[in-house]
Amino acid sequence: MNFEKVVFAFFIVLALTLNFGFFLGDYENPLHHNIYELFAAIVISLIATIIKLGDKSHMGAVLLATSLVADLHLIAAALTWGTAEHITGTGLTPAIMSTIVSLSGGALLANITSVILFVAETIVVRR
Amino acid sequence: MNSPIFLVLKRLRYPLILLISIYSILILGFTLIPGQDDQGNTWYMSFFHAFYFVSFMGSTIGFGEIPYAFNEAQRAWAIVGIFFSVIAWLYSIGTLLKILRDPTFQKVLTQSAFENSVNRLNFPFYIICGYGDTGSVLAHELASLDIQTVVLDWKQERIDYLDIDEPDMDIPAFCADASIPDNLLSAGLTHPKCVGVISLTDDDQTNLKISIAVKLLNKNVQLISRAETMEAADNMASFDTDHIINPYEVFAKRLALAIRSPGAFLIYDWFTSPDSTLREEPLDPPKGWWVVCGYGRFGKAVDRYLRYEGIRTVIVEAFPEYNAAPKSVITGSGTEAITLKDAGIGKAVGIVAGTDNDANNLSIIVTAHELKVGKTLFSVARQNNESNSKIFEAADLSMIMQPACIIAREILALIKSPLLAEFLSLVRRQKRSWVNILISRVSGLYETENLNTWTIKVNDMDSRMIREILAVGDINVADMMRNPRDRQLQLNCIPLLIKHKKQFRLLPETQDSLSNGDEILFCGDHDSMHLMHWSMSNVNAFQYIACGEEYFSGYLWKFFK
Repeated sequence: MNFEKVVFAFFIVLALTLNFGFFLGDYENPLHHNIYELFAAIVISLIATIIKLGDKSHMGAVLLATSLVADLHLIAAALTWGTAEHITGTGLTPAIMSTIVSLSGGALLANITSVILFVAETIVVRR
Repeated sequence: MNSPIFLVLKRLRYPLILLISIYSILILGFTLIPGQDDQGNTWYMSFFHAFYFVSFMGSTIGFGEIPYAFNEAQRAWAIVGIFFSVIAWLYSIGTLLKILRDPTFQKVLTQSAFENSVNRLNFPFYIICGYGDTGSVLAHELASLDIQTVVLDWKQERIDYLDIDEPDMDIPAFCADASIPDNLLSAGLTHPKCVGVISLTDDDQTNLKISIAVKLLNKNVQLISRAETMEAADNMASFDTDHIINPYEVFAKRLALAIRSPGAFLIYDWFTSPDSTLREEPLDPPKGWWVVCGYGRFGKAVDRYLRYEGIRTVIVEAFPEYNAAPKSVITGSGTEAITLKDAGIGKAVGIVAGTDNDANNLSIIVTAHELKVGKTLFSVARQNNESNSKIFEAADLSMIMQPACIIAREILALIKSPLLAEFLSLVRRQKRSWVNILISRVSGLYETENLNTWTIKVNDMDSRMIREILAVGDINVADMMRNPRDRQLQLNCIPLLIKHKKQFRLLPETQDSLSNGDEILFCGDHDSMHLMHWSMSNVNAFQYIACGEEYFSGYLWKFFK
C-alpha cells in the first residue's frame, strides 16, 4: 500500500467533491452555497496543486495545469464574493451569486478533467 | 520541468503545504469564534476580515485588533495563531534559502545563464577551450579587435579571473571540462554564428579529444588546436584539423629564420606582433657554436632547426636518459658555471635556456653572461609563466620565447587575415635582396605608427552597381588604393599579395587588374585601412574611386535625371 499514492488520490478527489458540493443548488440563492465549503474547496485545491508539482512526465504537467485552472476559478469566485460584501458594499445580489457559482462551475470542470486523467492513468498502470 | 523555477517549487512543496494548512485553520477559527462589536452584539468575523488579520499576524506586522477589539476567545486563538504562523513562515523561508544556496542548484542556474547568453549571441564568435596564459592573451586581443569569444575552462579560479579582468566585451564563460562534448554544445558549437573553436588546454590528449568532437559535431567551423608533441600533432592532422600550432616548433622555426634571413624575420615580426613598432635594427643571431640547455620538446626543436642552419650545438641536460639526449650531452642543469664551461661556453656565440623552469632559465643566462663578460653572447630564454615577464625583460636577453604569446599571435594572424599566413610563408622563401626591398618600402610608408594588415575581397555580390562596374572590366590595384575623399591622392598602403583563383601573386604592380572573387592583402596605417574598407562597402565611394563620378542613386534624383 503506497502511502504517497493514497494521499495524492485523496486530495484530488476531495478537491473535486468539495467543489461539486459548493456548486450544487440554485445558482441565485445564497442559502444553497455555503461559504465554508468554498473556503474548504480553495484550501484543498491549493494543497492538491502543490502536491502535483515536480512530476516531470506529460501526465504530471497536464494534471498540474488543470489544477492551476481550478485554483484560478475558485480564487476568482472568492474575490468576487469578498469584493461584493466588503469593498463595493453591494452585498450578495442574485447576479453576484450567480457569478460566483458560474466560476465554481468552471473550476468543477477543471477538477473533473483532472480526475478523469488520474483515473485513466490508474487504469493503465494497474493493467 | 527542468527550469530552475520548477526545481525550487518542487523542493518547497512541504513548506508550502504546511503554510497553507496553518493559514486555513487559523482563518477558519477566526470566522467561527463569536466576537463582539462595539455595541456588545455578537458578531462573527467574515472570511475577508479573518484573512486580513491572519495575513498581518503571520508576517509579523501586527496592525491591531480590527474592526472591533477582540474578546478573550478570539485572543486565545490569536495566541495559537502567532506561534504557528510565524514558525511556518520561518520554515518556508529557511527552506527557500537552503535551496538557493545549494551548490548543485547554483550550478544549474549558472549553466542556464551561460547557455542563454550563448544562444543570444548575434555575431560570429570563437569558442576558446582553456583559459590559461594563452587563452587570456588571445581573448583580450580578440576583444580589442571586436571579435566575440566564448570561454570554457575546467578550473573555476580561471573563470573567476576572467570575471575580474574582463575586456570591454562581454564574454560568456563557464567552468566545465571542454573535452566533454555536451559542454562544447552548451558553449554553442552548433550555433549558426559559431565560426571557430580554438583548443588551448595544456594537455595534448584533451586538445585531441576536443578536436575530434568538433570535427564530428560541426564540420563547418574552423578548428585551431595547440599540440606540444609531434604524435599529437600528426594525430590531429589526420582528421583535418585546420591549424595545429606547436609553440616550440614555431619558435625554433623563427629562430632559424632569424639566422638565415634576418630581413625575413623582421617582416615576420612586424606583421604578427599585435603592437609592433618598426624596429631599427634587425636581429642578427650569429652562426657558430651554440649551447642549448634543456633537451625537452623545446630543446629538441631548437637543436634540430639550428643544426639544419649549419650551427654546431652542444646540449646540456639534467636527465639525459629520460629525454633521449644524444651521446655528446653534458649532464647537468646548466645553472652552474662548471657545467657551462664543460659545454664550451668560452667559444660559444649563442646560448638557449630552454628548460621548463623559469628560475633555472634565468639562472643559466645570468651565469653565462658572467662567464662571457665583455663578449657578446646571443641569449635566448624560454619563459613559461606570463607572471615572470618583468624579470625576463630585465635580464637583457636577445630573444624571449613565450609559448603563450607565440600561440596567441599565430592564431591572431590566422583569424585577422587568412592571406597573411600565405604571404609570410612565401616571404620565407625569397632571396635576401627581395626581402630588403620590401623592408625599405614598408619602413618608407611611415615611422612610428602601428602596422596594420587587412584583406579586401573583391566580391560584392549584393551590389548591382559594383557588379556593373566590374563587368566593364577596369578596376585595378591603383584604383583600390585611391583615397575616397580625393581620388588624386593615394592611400598610405602597400599591396602585398593577390589571390586570384587559388593562384598567389606577391607584391603586385599597381596596374594589375582585379576581377570578381580576388582577394588582396594590404598593409598600411590605420586610417588607410578604414578608408579602404569604407570605399569597398559604400557604393557611392566605390563608384567615385573606380570611375571618378559621384552617382546619386536615390529614387528622387533618378526621376529628375
